Amino acid sequence: MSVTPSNENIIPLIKKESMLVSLEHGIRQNGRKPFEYRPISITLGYAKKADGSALVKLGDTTVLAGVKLEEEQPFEDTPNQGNLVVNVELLPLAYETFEPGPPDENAIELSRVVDRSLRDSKSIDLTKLVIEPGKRVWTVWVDIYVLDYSGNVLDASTIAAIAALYDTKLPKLLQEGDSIKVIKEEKGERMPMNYPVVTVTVGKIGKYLIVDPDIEEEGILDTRLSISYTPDKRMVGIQKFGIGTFSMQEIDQVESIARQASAKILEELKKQLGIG
Amino acid sequence: MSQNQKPKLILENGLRTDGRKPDELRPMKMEIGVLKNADGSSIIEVGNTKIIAAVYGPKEIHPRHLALPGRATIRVRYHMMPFSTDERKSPSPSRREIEISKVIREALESSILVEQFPRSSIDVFMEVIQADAGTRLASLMAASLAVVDAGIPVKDIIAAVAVGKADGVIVLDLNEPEDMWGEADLPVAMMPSINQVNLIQMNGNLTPEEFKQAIDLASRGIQTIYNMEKETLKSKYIEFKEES
Amino acid sequence: MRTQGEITFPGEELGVIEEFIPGENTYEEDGFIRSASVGKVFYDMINRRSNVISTKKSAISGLKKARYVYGTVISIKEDSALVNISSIEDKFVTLISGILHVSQVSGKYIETITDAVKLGDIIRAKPITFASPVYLTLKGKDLGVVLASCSICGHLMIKADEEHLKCPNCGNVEKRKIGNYMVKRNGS
Repeated sequence: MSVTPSNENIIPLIKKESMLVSLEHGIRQNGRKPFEYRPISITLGYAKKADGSALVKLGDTTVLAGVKLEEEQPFEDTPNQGNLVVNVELLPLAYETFEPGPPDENAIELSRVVDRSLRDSKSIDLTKLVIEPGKRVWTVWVDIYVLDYSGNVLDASTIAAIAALYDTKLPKLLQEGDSIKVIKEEKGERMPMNYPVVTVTVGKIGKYLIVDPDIEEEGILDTRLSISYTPDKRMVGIQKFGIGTFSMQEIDQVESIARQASAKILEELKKQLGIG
Repeated sequence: MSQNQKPKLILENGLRTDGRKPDELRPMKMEIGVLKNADGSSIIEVGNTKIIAAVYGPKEIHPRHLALPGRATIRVRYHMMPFSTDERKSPSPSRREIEISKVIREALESSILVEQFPRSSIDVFMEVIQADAGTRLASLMAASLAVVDAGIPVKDIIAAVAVGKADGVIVLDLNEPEDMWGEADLPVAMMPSINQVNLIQMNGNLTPEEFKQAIDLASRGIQTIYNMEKETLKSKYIEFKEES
Repeated sequence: MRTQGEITFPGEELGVIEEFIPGENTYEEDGFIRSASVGKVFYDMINRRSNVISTKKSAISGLKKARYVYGTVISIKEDSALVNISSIEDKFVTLISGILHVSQVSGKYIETITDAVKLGDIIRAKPITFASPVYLTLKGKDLGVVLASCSICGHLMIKADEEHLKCPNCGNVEKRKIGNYMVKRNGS
């Protein structure tokens, strides 16, 4: 059962009018321009026991992603590819109203949106995650933990997932006669990544559009749209959040704003992850 | 560590598997005020163990029936991230995590001046980012620092260390092989200024003499850690003063 | 005894019970007064109290220093309104229950509480007690309703004059104790 949320912060409601006045003058209350993204910082290998990990800060939003590999049997319908499981959790550390317990609807929605972006973009070459065709494959567990919630956790989660995956090395494989042995203690090849993927969220307040809303802005957004892009500008996932609506023209506008932002974020990612 | 044979824990030169002397602590790092939203927060690294802790409160308790008339309710969750261990751990809470949450809550409650906050709750959350022996004590210390960082009055800061016996030698601050293969594991947490022990557990075998020796060693280790905790708080305090 | 203004940590001895009463951020155990917080030692020689001036205040004690809080009116009783306080100054907190009594609305005589606030209004108030439920006052120039919806059509109201709000949609005029009212323009 999904219920209209209560216990929301009322501060943004009070500030709505002054935020709109600022936007009229082309500036946001946090000092950013409408289409300006917050600075991204990535620390790779933050959790040493993970096969790959990344701590990502998007402004004050902090997200930790860790990758673990497990040897498993492939699914019957995909005998020659590995499996991908993405899980996002909104930890009670991260915000006043978050409670401990199994993931709620927001966390599950986030998990599924990140999962779809990674899967549909073919960012990971799952066919290279096979140990023995039809018998043994790698399951890639991507666990994403939100540590500090300051808005736009979706974009931060996708960045963290991608960064952690690029940081990941598979365990070493050894051919012994007919069988292949897995040596967990030794690292082997890098995670077979084709290219990164990014998600860009654009929010709508009144008639204004803003990129990468922070937590106060999220409180008064009418609605927001998140679009995922690959480096060759293919769109690989869309999700609309919130109760409000967009017109068709606005969706067109959002797409072009998001596309431009995605190019910048991808460039930043490539720089920080050292990929070509 | 997937070897099934007990390794040698004390090498010929008298040193331990990680090169430490028997009475040497693992390198430690502490930081407070690491999260923006939480009222108090901290990160502690003890060797390869890494914990992040956050405190919310004191605040009005929901649901209300949990409220206690004369004191605060403390809610504690110790949780391990799935990628904190060698094998991936399921994110749902295990029996071990539930026990540790309780042990930590009881230790923490003895240090917080709970009577000052009737009918309210103090929520303490700990996440294990890397697990490598001693996570319960590192979590407890992280929690204690986060509580102090939140401005909640306490009797004392909690300092803690595990002592044990490995290959017949009493050792300070167990590492993972010693934890797994050693003869005894004795975690101790204290409020050093008022000389009160608020957590002690043991599994393994010790003679009363060895126990005494182990406790002495633990007290010395705790004193060193306690001073580090104070340094951490002091540097933050000075930083705060310079800002204002 | 320590020197006045010295930095102290939890657990440290500040004095004995014969000399002082334990004050703010201190506690007494076995006849000794000890610090309960990181901060500066402050001996109040007049009242013979030993205090620790802490750098950080916990959320509930933040109420004492708060100039105002924001809350939503969730129910109206005969002579008072129940308020869900959801922020202390501008910091979002999990709900604290608040009560506004009709006598605390303003210096002037108010007949009923609904002449000051109505269900669903967001108010800016000052706390006068500091344990839940928190008693609130609207006495003060900038305290009062900051955001309200029309009780007929639900549209956001705008300020008509110092005591009245007007609905730009249906023209309904309602009485309120108005604080720093936030909506001045039509249609936002």
